[in-house]
Amino acid sequence: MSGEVLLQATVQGLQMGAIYALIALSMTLIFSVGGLLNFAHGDFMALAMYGALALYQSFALDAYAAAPLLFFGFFLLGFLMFRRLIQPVLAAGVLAGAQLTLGLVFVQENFLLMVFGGDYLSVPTVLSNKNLVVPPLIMPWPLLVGSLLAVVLAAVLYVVLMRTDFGRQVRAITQNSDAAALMGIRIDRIQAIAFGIGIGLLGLTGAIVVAQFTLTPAMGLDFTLIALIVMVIGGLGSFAGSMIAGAIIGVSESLGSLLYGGTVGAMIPYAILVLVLLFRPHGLMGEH
Amino acid sequence: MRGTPFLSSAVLPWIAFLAVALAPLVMSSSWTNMAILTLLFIHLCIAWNMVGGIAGQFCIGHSLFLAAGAYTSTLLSIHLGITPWIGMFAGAALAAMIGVFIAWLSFRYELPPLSFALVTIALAMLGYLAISSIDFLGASRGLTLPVRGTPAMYQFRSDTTYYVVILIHVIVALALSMWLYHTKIGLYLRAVRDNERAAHAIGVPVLRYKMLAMAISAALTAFGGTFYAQYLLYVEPHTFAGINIVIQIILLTVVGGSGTVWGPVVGPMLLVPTGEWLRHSLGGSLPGVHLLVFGVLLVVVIRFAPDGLVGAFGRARQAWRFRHGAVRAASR
Amino acid sequence: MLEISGLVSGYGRIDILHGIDLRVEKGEFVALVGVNGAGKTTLMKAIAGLIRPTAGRIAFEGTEIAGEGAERAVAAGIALVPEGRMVFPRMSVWENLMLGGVHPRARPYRDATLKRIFDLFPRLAERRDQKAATMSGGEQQMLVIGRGLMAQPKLLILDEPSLGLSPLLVQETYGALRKLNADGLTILLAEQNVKLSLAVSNRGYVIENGKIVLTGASSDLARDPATRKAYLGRL
Repeated sequence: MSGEVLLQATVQGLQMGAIYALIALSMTLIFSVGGLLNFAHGDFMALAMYGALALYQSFALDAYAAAPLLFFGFFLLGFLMFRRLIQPVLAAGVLAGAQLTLGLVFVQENFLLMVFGGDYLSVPTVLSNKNLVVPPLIMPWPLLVGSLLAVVLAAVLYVVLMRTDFGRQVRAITQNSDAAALMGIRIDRIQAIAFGIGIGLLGLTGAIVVAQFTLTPAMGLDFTLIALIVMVIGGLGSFAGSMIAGAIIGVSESLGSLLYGGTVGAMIPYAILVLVLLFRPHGLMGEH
Repeated sequence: MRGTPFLSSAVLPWIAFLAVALAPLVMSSSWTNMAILTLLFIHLCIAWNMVGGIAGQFCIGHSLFLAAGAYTSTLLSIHLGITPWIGMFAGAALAAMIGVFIAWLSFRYELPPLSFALVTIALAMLGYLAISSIDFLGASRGLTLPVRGTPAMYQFRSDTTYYVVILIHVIVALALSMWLYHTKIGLYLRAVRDNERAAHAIGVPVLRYKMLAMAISAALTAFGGTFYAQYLLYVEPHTFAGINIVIQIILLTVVGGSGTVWGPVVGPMLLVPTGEWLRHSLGGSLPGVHLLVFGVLLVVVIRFAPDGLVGAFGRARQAWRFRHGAVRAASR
Repeated sequence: MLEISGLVSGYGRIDILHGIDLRVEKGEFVALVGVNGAGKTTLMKAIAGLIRPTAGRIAFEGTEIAGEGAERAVAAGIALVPEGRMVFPRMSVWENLMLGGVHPRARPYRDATLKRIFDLFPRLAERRDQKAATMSGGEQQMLVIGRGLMAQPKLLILDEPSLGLSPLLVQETYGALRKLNADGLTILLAEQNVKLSLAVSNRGYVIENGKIVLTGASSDLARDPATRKAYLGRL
């Protein structure tokens, strides 16, 4: 196995890892402030990807241009869904909320199946099938741009959470919700907005990475599981942790596939998850 | 006066259930396939409910048990000619061992409920991926069972016979479930579910009971796996080891009412036929629309009755009794 | 300013308060003394909107606010410095204070008030960027008083601020409270420490088993043997 091939796989793994990290961060946001374990998380992203496809088919709108649209659309979707559907169910417990999201998985996958059919689809974009060659690396443009944008978005999310009033309120709710209430913070409103942002981010992420993936209705669950793994390994609530965990999962998956085949590559993240949950339950850098 | 409510709550559902369950035997055979599927899901839901509902351990690893049952009996039948009637016990034993291992893991490493759920998902996915890539297990193509055509090899000519077999499975599972629920063991399990630390503090042997519940649940699921393999005469990882079927089982149980005895019966009994009916009437025009409607139904039920249909029914009955009693008291 | 009548409240089916009548006039420093479990915290939480009373009225500046939630209380001008301090552990002193002033009512005055608080508690200014969890009990107490002040309260209520503090720190804290009251802030103070709280306040209430058993001028209560009896009787 030549060094170049290994390097290529590693770089690819890092880039995928950045994307995984961003998905995990949006999931962390929803989990720690909304108190919801969202099994349908990846399905929202799949929905966004298909949405990008639909926009392209109907309006010849490129996915990258559609990204902001999808962000706002999905923000609204998330906000309303939280208020009307999820918040009332969460009153019956965290488990009930998680079960509801399982139902949503069902709904979304079959909605996509019904509307788009079960065939593999792809979305043509300005960057599709083009590569950036920096010897010895051949980097597909969609993955490169997708991963860079993912890092930028993660940084934006960081700034919002750490330096704005809204972000402080979000963090206050996760650290001590009673004290947050005493500050006059309207907890359910902040939760709904945070949920909206989390889902909006998924809409945005879906659009900017869609050129890299082949679309199939059941793809969402895979993203959800990867995001869960990264979220848990990185330690809930830790930005650095999620980025590092994303890198680890991305690279190990990539190298594993290269060296031992696709199935083994897919198995590695789950094996890592089990090991981390057993031996280092707070994740790599978690505080909980 | 106090005896009557208990009697009605224990006996009446059994009568209703048996009446509904025996009906397909006298109805036309076009319904039998759907009835078999319904009973299979009832069986699997009852099994899952023992761990997920009664013991409160949200376990998403039951696909491992299903696959253990299906693949063990199938492989023994294909390679050693052993009848699945024996093979299913081997499968159940394997499943029980896996289940006990998982229970032990969660106890030894003190996994909080969320971590436990995630570990079981990870193990389930690992199982799925492993089966999909090992040729001896058929990989993603799956394994086809040789057609032997004799009841001795767990293959029947008429669907009705299959129906009777799964019905017996369900009755056994239901009896076990009631035993688990109503005896001391059930009480301990529910105590562990509601507050594990407190239960441990008062001396409940937490680990032992968790293992017991898991072992029974796993074994029953494996029996269901063998049955399904014999019914389809075909096993492959997506159906038997994938997460999708576990999600369906969980949803059906939750809608019925997890943690109750009859919840896992009511859920599939109402929803599986509904799903099949939807597929016949709508599935032709738009693929998947029946599952979509099905999914929406699930979300609606969870939204408005998070403790399931059994729970909602119980609350409605309380409300009716309260009003009825108040009226009677007022009219005295 | 604050008028409570017939307040009944508790947790779930258990009532802790069995009909409380209490009054705080503008500019007063009122003490509420009682042992652990007498109902002080329940009453403070009810006033601050964290729990909903089952019966009775809480009127603030003439408007009924019972059971309307914490946001309503803050909007009306009540700030609670809770028992156990309840800092935001992984946030800095500055972030904690900023959160105190996050409500729209308080936000315009945030920067000015922040400066005032740093003047009042120089030790907080020194530890501006320190994470709250790493501070000592006394420093955290100062922090949460400051955080309460950031909300521009008309009425500041405190639940057991002296708990776990050294005598020196307690004196410092009480000194700050006295100064704030002298500058015009109305204060309601719930305490187990009878002597100190009656020394610093104008008027007092003694609460026992969820009922007010004694009330009067603080100096009178301090001398009244009935106070000590009601207080020690439970021990």
